[in-house]
Amino acid sequence: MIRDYLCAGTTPRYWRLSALLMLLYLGTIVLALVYGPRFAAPSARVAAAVAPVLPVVGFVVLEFRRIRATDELRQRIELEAATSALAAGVPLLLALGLLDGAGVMPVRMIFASPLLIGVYMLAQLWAHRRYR
Amino acid sequence: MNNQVRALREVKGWSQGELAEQLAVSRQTVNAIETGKYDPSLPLAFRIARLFRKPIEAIFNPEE
Repeated sequence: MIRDYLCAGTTPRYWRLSALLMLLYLGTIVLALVYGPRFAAPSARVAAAVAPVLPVVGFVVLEFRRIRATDELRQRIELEAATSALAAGVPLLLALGLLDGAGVMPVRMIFASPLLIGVYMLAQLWAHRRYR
Repeated sequence: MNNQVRALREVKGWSQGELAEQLAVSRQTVNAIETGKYDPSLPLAFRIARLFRKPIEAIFNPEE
C-alpha cells in the first residue's frame, strides 16, 4: 500500500530529477547558511539566502507533472489531500503565528514549510486509505 | 452508483490488475469502482462499456 502511494505516477526520470534537485537543495542550503553570511555585497547575501527556493520550485513543478501523469482516482486523492492539508495547515499555522505574536511561544518561520509538507503527506495517506 | 464491473470482469476471467491495464488506470481505481467507493468519469465509464461491449446504462445504474 505504501509502495503504491509513494510510486504512483513516478518514472525513472522522475527519481533521477528528484535526486538531482535534492543535491541542488542541499548545496544551496550550505550556500545559504555557511557561505551566504560571509558575502560582502548585500545583493549577494540576499541571493545566497533565497537560493534554496529554486530547487524547491523545481520539486513543485516535478510533483505537478507527476500528478498530471496519474489516473483520475489518484488525481482525486491528491485533490482531497491538498484540500485537507490546507484546511488543517492554515489554522495550525495561524495558531502558531498568534502564539508567537502574543509572546507565548516563539515560532520560527523556517519551520512553516516543512510543517505544511508534513500535514500534506499525512493527508495524502489518509485520502489514499479512503479508496483502498 | 451501482455497477456491474466486478461481475463482468469475473465473467471474462480477468484479475483487477488485468482490467486496470486494459483501461490504463491503476488497480486501486478498478477496486474503488467495483466496491462503489469511486464513480468513474464519463470518459472512463465509456472505456469500460466499450471494453465489455455493453451500453453504459447496462453497467452503471444510479441508486434510487
